[in-house]
Amino acid sequence: MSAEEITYLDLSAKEEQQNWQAVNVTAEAFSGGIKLHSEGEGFFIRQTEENTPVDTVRLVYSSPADAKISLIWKKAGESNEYFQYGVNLPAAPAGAAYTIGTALISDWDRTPTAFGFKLEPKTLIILQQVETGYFTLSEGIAMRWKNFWTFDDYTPRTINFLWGPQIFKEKPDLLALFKALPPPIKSVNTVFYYLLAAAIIFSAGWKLINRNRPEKTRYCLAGLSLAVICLWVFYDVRMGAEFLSYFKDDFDSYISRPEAERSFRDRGNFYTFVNEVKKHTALEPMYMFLTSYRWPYLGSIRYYTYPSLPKQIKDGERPRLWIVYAQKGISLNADNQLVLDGEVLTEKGSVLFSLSSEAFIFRENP
Amino acid sequence: MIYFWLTAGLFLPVAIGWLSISLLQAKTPVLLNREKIALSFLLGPAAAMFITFLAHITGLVSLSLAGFLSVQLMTVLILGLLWWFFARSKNKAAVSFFCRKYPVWVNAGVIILMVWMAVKLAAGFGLLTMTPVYHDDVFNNWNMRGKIYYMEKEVVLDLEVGTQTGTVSRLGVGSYPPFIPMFKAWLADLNGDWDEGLVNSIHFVWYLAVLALMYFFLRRFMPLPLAAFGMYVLSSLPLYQVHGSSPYIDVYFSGLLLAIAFCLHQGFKAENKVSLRSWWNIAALTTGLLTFTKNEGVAIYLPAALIVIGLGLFWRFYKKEINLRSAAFHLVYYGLIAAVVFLPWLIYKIVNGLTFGNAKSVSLTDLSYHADVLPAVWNSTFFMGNWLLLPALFLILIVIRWKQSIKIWVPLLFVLIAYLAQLFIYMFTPLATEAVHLTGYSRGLIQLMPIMVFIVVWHLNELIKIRD
Repeated sequence: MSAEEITYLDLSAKEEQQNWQAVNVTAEAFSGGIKLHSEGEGFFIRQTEENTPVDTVRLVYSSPADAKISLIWKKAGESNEYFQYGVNLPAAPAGAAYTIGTALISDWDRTPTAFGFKLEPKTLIILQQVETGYFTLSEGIAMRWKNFWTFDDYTPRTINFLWGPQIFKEKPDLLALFKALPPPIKSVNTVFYYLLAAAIIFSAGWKLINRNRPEKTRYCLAGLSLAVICLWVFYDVRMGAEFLSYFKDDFDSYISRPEAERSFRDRGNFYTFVNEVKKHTALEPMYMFLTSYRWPYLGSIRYYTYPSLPKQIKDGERPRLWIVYAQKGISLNADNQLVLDGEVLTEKGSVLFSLSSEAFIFRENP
Repeated sequence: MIYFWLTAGLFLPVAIGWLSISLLQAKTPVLLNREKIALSFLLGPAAAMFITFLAHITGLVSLSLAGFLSVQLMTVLILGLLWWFFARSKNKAAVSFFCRKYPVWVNAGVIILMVWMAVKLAAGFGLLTMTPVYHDDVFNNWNMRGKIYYMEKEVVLDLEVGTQTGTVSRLGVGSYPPFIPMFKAWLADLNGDWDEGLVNSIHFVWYLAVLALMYFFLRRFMPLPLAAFGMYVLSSLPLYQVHGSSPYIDVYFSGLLLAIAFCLHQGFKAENKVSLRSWWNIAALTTGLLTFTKNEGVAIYLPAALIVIGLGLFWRFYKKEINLRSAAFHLVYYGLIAAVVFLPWLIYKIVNGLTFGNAKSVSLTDLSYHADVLPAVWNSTFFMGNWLLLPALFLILIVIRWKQSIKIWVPLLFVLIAYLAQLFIYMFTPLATEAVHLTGYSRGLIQLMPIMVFIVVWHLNELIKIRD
């Protein structure tokens, strides 16, 4: 964690273990930490030091399987209500770490009076250590300034909206922002609005004081306008730089690269694959298209290969040409037949072109 | 070299636009030549494709090179003759401009902003023409239909799109107006092949035309540096910039709306009936062509334009500036010109069973209140990176300076009616998901951005009050 001040709660130490309370959870303390096992919903909670800020929570743990838990906390001043934020802990061996940034938690209280974890039924995890961290004022400002200049990638959502600069202390996962609706964004717009309001209030006050001196009022309004223009241009430099980064990323990964090395945004080598596919579909009225991700690949490949149309197995057509892209569970058996999740799909054939085991062109023998 | 076909493909349509505007102004020109040329880049292609569409659906031509070319040549000939005999005039629009010398730092600042804008425009052109088709609405709608029209040489209504196969439907994107795909097919016909960069490059031309129009319209009210700043402001809106660099149609559509709002506004300010007629003729044709561009033209903007005109005429009637007969005449005349485009398209839609919504059709019998829309709209409008600070500045200015805002009531009312109509659709129909999941709301706002920028910069000029 990048937070400057970190508190280490070592759950292998008896003194620390005594600070935690288990409710509906079997907690077995041992030298390596605490083994938590829940039959039903259970809780593992600790009171915090008064007014100790918490910006990040990091778990050092192990788990035999993926575990669904929630970070829970009690807000200062709230009675007995606990707030929660769901977390999916991946299965991991001892010593694995998972950091929960509170930046995306809209109800988070920076100085909770208590915090802990809620375990879903039938959950087994071993907690070795819990670390809480917070940013000092200067580091918080530095992190916010750094995150202000952190650009989003060009993704399918870019045509619909732009998150804009976020002033979280931790770098936000912009994809994860959409976990809750409305998203818990911390837009820099809030800061700009405060500045705008201050400028307007100052101008209104100035105008009131100098209401009998119109030349001073006029300069004030011109000054206010100039201040707004400067704010606008500053914000535009930020968003304009992000826009230029879209082109730079595309230029570096796609436009300037030879065909075989091209990768485009989140579509990877799809377009390289399609350029090869078009050579084989040019004289075919249709082809079978297999993919685990009909969106976006089905619509996209249909566009590129038109008038040759993609078909799916459910359509009942049996073209001899099979295009496979990003299809999980696909393979060729010893008889050179396509097999999907154990089911044989085709007659014998041959692979005409292959980018990977999940992206290739296959034609059945006549 | 391939972009030579872009120039060639625009020549006749722009001429059609220029001649159409000239005829609509008759012997009372109200637009400056540069404004007329910029608007011709927007209206001309739409008008050319509309006439081609009529010729096509009546069986006269296919969507081949010969079909497109013959219609455009014939149209230029007919319009040219009409112009020569009935509308040719040495009259020029009378406009006085604000001119004065500015401090070096002002001119330097404007030049720096123009250079910055040019850098972003260049990057946008690269994104538009050098990258593969990426977004849904491009490979499922605009470019997909263009490619189908080009290959089949006809308007095809029944389409297989999206994540389904084996079924075709004319609902959804099949019901969209065919103007944009037809123009892409025209460019492909000229080139002899479908080329992504070529068919997408037209969107950049339209983006430049909208920016130019913004500058020209603002220049009528304010000095050059501020008008240039207004053009920069529009280009600096992040989501507008993204769309100007994508083969989507909302930026083009926004240019038509800017022209309508501006022409209506100028019409109401006109000193005589003849000038009013010129302004409103242009607005009326643009309104008609709106309906042939996107379905929102029918559902939202045609009614908005008629409401604005109706209210303005009613106010004049109430103030006894005109009589009822004159007011009714103006309103009906506007509707008739718009109907030249709207009516044939409407009849075609009804006869062919096409829908009127966007990709998802909307039924007014399926209304219910969606409480999660307003928080999403609030966030999206004021707390995301789409519009920099424009919505806040717009709101502050029209509220604090409400008296001054009355001077530009036409574009303001037009924007408010259109926005409230969009909001109603999101709040009370199944299209609420488009607002809650942020997939449609901001794209609707793109269409209103030029008018909103116009209003904000107009207020800025009034605040600074730089005058001769």
